Amino acid sequence: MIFTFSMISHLFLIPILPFAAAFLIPIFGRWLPQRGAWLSIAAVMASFIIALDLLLRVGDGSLLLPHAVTPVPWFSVGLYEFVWGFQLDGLSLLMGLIVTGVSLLIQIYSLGYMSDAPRLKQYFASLSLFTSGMLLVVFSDNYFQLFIGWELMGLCSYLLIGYDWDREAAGKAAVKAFLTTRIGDLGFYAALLTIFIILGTFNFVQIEERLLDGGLSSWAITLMALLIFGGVVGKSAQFPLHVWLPDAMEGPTPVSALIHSATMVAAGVYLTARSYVLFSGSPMAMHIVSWVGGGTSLMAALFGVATRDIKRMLAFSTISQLGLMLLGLGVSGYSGSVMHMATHAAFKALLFLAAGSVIHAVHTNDIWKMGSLSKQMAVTFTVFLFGALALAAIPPFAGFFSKDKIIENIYLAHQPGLLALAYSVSGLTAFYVFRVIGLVFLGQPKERDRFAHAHESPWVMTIPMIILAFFAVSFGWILSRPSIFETFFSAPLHHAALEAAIPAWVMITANSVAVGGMGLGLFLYTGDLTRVESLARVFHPIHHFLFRQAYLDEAYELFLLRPVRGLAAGLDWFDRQIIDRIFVDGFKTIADELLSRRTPEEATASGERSGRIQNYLMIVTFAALVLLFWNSH
Amino acid sequence: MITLAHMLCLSAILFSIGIYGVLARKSLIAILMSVELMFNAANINLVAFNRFLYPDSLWGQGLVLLVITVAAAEAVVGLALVIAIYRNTKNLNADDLHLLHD
Repeated sequence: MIFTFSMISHLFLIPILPFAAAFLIPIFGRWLPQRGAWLSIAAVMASFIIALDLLLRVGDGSLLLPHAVTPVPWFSVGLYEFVWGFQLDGLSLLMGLIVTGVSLLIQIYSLGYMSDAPRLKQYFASLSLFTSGMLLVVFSDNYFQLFIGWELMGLCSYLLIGYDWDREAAGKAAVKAFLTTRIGDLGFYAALLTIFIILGTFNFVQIEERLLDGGLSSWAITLMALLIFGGVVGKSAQFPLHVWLPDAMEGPTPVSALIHSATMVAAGVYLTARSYVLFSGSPMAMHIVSWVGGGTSLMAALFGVATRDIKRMLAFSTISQLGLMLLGLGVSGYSGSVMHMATHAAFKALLFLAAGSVIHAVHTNDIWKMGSLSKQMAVTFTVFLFGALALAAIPPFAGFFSKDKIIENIYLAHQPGLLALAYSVSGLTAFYVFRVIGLVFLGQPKERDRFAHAHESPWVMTIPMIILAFFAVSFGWILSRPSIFETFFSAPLHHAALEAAIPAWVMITANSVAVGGMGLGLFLYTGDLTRVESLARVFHPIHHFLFRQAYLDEAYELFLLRPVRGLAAGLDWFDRQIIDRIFVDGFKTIADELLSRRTPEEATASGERSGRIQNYLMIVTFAALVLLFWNSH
Repeated sequence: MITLAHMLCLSAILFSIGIYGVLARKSLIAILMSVELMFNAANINLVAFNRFLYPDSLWGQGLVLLVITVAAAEAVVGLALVIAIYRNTKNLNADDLHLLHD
């Protein structure tokens, strides 16, 4: 009893265990089995068990939410004391469980997927460090500490995208991801300063109290919310900073599953949910959040229709679903968005792992080179199908419950434009994911030798997928049980408007659009592909426009990168030609002239260059004396 | 009555002797000894300031102990270098040791 009671202080351990593993693996990994992979898995499993224990104790009522651990002092600035503080509420408990659980499954999967990869120690150490960064974000009770975890994740993302750094594309994608998110983080950093100046604290609870007391100008609230949203746009890959996520697919597939779909990119949505009281204090900020989210969602869904790469399809789908979550938050649909974040983590991790299993079997990412794989890879096909049904929000799969909640909230916010946006995203989502199913798993094999070579993955890879598939099927139903829903999804603010009745057509439209998209995708891409090819020829300009992602990369190159490179080249010229040539070399020339250009031998002969250390010291001492007297007058 | 000024003068005189030694003496051993003199001039300053300005604390004395320790270590290295030079050249005249030059 005493042991379980003291478990709450073990909240500290949840982020610390993977953090310790991240540093132990590089040191001791060479003597451990699997190069220390099991150490990483053991650490995250311990974190998961602690989180599970917390969940059970919340369930039997022995632990009341929200709960804050007594903070540990860190350092003081003026009167404000920075602390290491951890808090537990419905949101952080849910995210903590998901992060540790998904991370555990993906690390086990990695044992199979990465079995013949080099640098395993670096891989598992980075995964552990990433997990601890995310858990730090999730359990922090203040913005400052959250920012530390936030940047830790940015670093790990860089390390893991660039894991195959001997391929040029991977190195470039890593740099791109790091720099692009850094632009957003600049906004978040400015938000930290602004919050501290205006509110004088970083603590979430204190900030909420200050906001609910009122008395703050609406401009100040809008400013803080929008600066935070800058960080969200970078981390959650929203327009215009979404360009890094498709390229991040250069990383190993388990990394894409963990970082670039299920957890890290969800940190942006998590931050918005965490700052929900702040955002709802500013109608303008909410408006911007919902339109940026909705617009990104539609844009990414359209890109997803055109891509040829199975992982990029999933990346666009991630951007699109994150946009949908932000759209939900922007229309005061806290519960629906947080729930979608949870279900999305399960089914998107599943889809990525299944895609990884396919790539492992056929050694290509190109969906036009696969086909008919359901015959060789029955398990992978089944779990991918479940994931796809959950993503397409077909009842009763997980995505249905959460996406339905988001759409209801959009309806209640009286935003017909956003509602239309959400419907088209629903239809497109179902279409592009079943397009991939048609091309990859059904139809005819397109390349005989790849098809013949394909085989089911080993059990270390299929078992994590099967567990995730269970959640892709049931997670939505589980989370929408009233008692569980109350624990995890009760919004920090109560909205009277959300009580209103919702007409049946709202949900029926959403479902029929999804089923329609699914049917169309299967119809076009399973049987005779000449139909699709002729369609692609007819709509070639549009197809190409979407395939090249609306030429946004090229536009950034032209309008942002070129001017910066031009500026850099100009400064480089200034440095070499003006500073180096005129000032540095110029003074040398003057000195040479004063010494009338003697050769070293002549200088030695005349005694200016004696080589005797004491002569030089004499000059130094004399100069020091001159400076001393000059200074004192 | 000895005042702070007396101590500082002593320190300054020692330091000047040290500088003179480093600049003018030709034997490497003598140069090292002169460096030690300069160390001790600085030590006297530290102790004197502590004694006259903050008689209740011992920070200056503590720092001096640290300086003495470090100086001892430094002397070991310096003397080892001198011995190595002597073994190689049979010569300790600073003026003759200009191998780095041409």
